[in-house]
Amino acid sequence: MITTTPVAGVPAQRSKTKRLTAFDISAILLTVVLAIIFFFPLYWAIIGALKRPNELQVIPPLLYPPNPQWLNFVEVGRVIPFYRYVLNTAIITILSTIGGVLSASLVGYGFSSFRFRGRHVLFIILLATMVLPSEVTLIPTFVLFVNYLGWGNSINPLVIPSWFGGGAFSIFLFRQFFASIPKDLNDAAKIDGCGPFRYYATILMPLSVPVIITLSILWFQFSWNDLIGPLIYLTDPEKYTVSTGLLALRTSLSGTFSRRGQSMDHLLMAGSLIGMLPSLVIFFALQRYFIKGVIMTGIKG
Amino acid sequence: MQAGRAKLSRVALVEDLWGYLFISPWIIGFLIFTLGPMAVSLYYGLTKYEFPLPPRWVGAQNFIDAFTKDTLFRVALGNTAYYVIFSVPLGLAISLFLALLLDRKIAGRALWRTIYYVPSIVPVVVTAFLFGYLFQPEYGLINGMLRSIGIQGPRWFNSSDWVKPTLILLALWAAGGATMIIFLAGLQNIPTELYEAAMVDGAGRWSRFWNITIPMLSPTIFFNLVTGIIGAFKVFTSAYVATAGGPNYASYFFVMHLFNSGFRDLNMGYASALAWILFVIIMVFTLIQLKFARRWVYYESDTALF
Repeated sequence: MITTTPVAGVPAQRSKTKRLTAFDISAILLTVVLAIIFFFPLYWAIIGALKRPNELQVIPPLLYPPNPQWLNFVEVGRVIPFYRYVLNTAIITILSTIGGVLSASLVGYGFSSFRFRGRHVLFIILLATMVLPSEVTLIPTFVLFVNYLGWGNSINPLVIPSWFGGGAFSIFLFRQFFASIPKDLNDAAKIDGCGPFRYYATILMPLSVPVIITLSILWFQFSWNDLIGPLIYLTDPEKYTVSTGLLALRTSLSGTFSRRGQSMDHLLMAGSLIGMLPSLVIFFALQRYFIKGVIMTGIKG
Repeated sequence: MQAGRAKLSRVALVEDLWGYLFISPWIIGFLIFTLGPMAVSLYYGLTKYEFPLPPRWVGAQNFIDAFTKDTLFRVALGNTAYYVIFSVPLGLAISLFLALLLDRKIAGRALWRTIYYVPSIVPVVVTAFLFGYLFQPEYGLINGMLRSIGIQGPRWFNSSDWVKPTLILLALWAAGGATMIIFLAGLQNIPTELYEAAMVDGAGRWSRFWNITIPMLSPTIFFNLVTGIIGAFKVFTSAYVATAGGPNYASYFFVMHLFNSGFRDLNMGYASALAWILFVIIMVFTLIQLKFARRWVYYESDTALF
């Protein structure tokens, strides 16, 4: 009896992994079909960026660029200073991402590791700000920045606020992660004469790489893709970001269209592709950590 | 005894100092960028403030105007309600469905996960352009495909009946993957022993889904529901870029009305009043959900976010 069990177990195991039910097959099919649907608009952006004038408006639509125009990516920089806008956006995004992640980690450390008075109340207030629509503070902060601090057409309004805590969600993630680190580690460090700042910088931060990367990706995307901020603060065309630059590009191209009767939408697609490229590159380079970070921090309510 | 207490309070004081030192960036930021502006926003809401002229007190006039005179306010509120009602449940269902598809032993799982997530990275401005081309009535691909099977497609963004469904489709594509990732994390936290035990008891797929997956996932569902409703109430960028609120104000949403009042008409007092109305609406919805959460959300521990 005992000797036959593992032998009998082997074929049973194998047939279990090999047998695909109708349910499995339909699930796989759906996964693939949905993946095609999710990928298709991106494919459309890529081929659109390589098309020639008027080719985006052909009936029936061209499913591939007959003569890929790689110079479209140069051309778009001639219509408007688009690459300058990419640089502007990069500066804003990098500064606000560093500020957001760094200050959130400090605040998260404060909430997770010190039993200061009033911490429960303050933490509940912090969580409550998560459901606060930013629109409610939009106008007074605009008046403060533009009227009182003279920050109109400056990147300050888009960068400086992120250095003050980095938002409830980021702080929450750091606090949850720090709270999951065994207290013994802190106690041992204390006995060795390691102060809070050194403990934070030399022990906690290296342990939090997945959290730091996850939040950096989210911050980067948020800041890079922001429209309403650049729209109200950066009205000087020199200062445009990718989002406002693309709107300006669309306006400029439709002007060309009405002058020449030639659709230049392929250049709008070329600009769009460049505009999303940095986010995509960063995501693909770091996605392993990102998924791990999301799962590790257990964003779950 | 006396010395011990003194020492204890000294330790407590040191804890206070360190704690407040580390959280001070947030405290300062909260006062300057959140609490202060909220109070000022309420004050502005009670004034006639035609930027950059100074604000002038008018009491509740802005709020009265919004509910009695401003027809666009009603239009914007109605459009936003439509958007919230349809986009949130659809978004949750599709994201959960995607997560369930990928929470299986499927070949190339990381690849599928990436493909579903990538649209969430694309700037909404770009997404709005792309959907503008794909759903263009004459030369757009979608109607081209429909035409090839003999269907005359609708005018999508150019039709006041179809513009909101089209924007909802855009949102499903643009945000489905991000919500899916959160669901996936939730699904992976469900202990497999629960499913194994249920299978021993002879529970079928459907029964396991309703009796294990859904209850164990309820905190995640709740989180996505609360944040999804808030996000849907704030819909702005996609409509601003794709339709500018048209045609005939059919995609004119609440935040667009707020934006136009404040930054186009420079009527900052009225815009602040609108911001407070939005704030109150969102708070009421959130509190109602928190109240009902006890009935259906299952918490294992007390580390919950809400």
